[in-house]
Amino acid sequence: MEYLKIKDEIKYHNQKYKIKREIEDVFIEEGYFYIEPSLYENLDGLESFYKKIGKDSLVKIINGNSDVVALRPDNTTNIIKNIIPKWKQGMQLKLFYNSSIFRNVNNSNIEEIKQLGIEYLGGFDFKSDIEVIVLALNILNKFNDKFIMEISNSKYIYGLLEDMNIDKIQEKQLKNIIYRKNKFEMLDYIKKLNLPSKIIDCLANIFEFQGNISQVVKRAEKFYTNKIMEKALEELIILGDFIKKEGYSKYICFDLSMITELDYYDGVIFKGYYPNSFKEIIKGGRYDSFTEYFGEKVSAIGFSVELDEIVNIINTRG
Amino acid sequence: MDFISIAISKGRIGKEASTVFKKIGLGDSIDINSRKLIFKDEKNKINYIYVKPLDVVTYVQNGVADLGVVGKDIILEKDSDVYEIYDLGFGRCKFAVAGKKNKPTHSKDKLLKVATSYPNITKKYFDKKQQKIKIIKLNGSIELAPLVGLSDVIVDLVETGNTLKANGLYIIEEMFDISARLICNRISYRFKYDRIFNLVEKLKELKC
Repeated sequence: MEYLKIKDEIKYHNQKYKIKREIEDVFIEEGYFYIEPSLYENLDGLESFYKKIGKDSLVKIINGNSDVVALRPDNTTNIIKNIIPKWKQGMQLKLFYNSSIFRNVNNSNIEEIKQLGIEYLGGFDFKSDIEVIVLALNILNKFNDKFIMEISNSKYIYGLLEDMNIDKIQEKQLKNIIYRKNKFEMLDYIKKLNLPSKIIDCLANIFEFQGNISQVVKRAEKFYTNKIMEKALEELIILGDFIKKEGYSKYICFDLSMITELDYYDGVIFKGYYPNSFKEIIKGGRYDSFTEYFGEKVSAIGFSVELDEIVNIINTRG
Repeated sequence: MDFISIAISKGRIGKEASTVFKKIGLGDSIDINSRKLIFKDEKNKINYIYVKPLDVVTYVQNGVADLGVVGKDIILEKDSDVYEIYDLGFGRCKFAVAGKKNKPTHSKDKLLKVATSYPNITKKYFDKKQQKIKIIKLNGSIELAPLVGLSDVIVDLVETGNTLKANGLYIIEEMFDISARLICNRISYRFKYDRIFNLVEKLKELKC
């Protein structure tokens, strides 16, 4: 067996560097400014946002004052926390970062995940939604033209949950089942929750609310909706139109049953995939109410790019 | 058209899976008695891969297989990031806590010792009940543990209950039901949605 040589290793690092530069160039060209998130994250009060990834997966350390802090588990939180308290009305910030996040994985190994990403703060809602999504699409298109972007609006499921009157634990359980597209267990579970039959019908069919935007709207419209859910659909329709104009329609799959790993999104959410990779390449969304948590509600949307995964698919392609 | 790969649990579930796939006109290339691990179906563009149950989840999660047929017990035991798109209905059995008949399970001041080959499921279950336990992980013949004094009770899959009976054990508490599931890689779900959807539809028709 031939083992990795220094030469190969350096080649790999440089290839990664080149791709990183390429993506950064796109960000800079689009008017984004570089920001460096700090390595540590004070966890006070933030646990609720890390529900899905679980407390165990945060890499914790004890600092000199015996406080428990975490190695940053995501970049957005870190950036928002520093910027929002100093926010002035009318500001517009386009920021990009290039930094790792850290997670505990199985058997207590620490995983360092290299991410590049952007945050667009204070933009006009729709305009920034579209700008950011098109930017994400352009980046996906750069490295492989066979990609799919999944899009939804987190308000849809949020709206549905609003009318269910269930507690936090049940909500978490239900979201987990939806995340796993587990129709069978969901039907079983919602029977126990004593929900109105209209909501049950909607949940029972939620996994069929996917496809292109007109298919999704046609299917979802037949079932239960409330004001929040209608708004979610309306926003997606407008977004669908714009994506069509940009010529990216065939790459898009809307899926109303989409659930995100981090729980702070409240608007459009999206994930980008390549066929020869088995991780999300891009993930992001709108998170206005998350900024409110740090003092002021600011229009905010962003995404992150998994650098290592892009390098991998380029290498396997040869 | 691309191939679809289906990882299937070796053993009882694998046998039943081959019958089910044959019934919907797909599994003709599978020969359970052969020592081969991959069965290629050129006509329908499907690869069947036979692997150990725990590995089914690993194969699917890493995208080496698009779909997997595996027991719910394995899915619960192994924290995984896959979609569970269909309940195949076969391989039904239940998880249960079992122990010796006519014997107190443990004295009050001691930790409850539980033998099992499913440490994660066991830990979660007793955590919920707020019962402190000590887990003894075994890889088979779990029923032996209480008999030789290795543990107070066991947590294991029970199908007919015959093995328990034969060893003088009885079910103290039923935990939950399980069956074989069709799991799906999250990215394959997107890229091969139509084919996967068609397969599930065929399986559904069979059940009706």
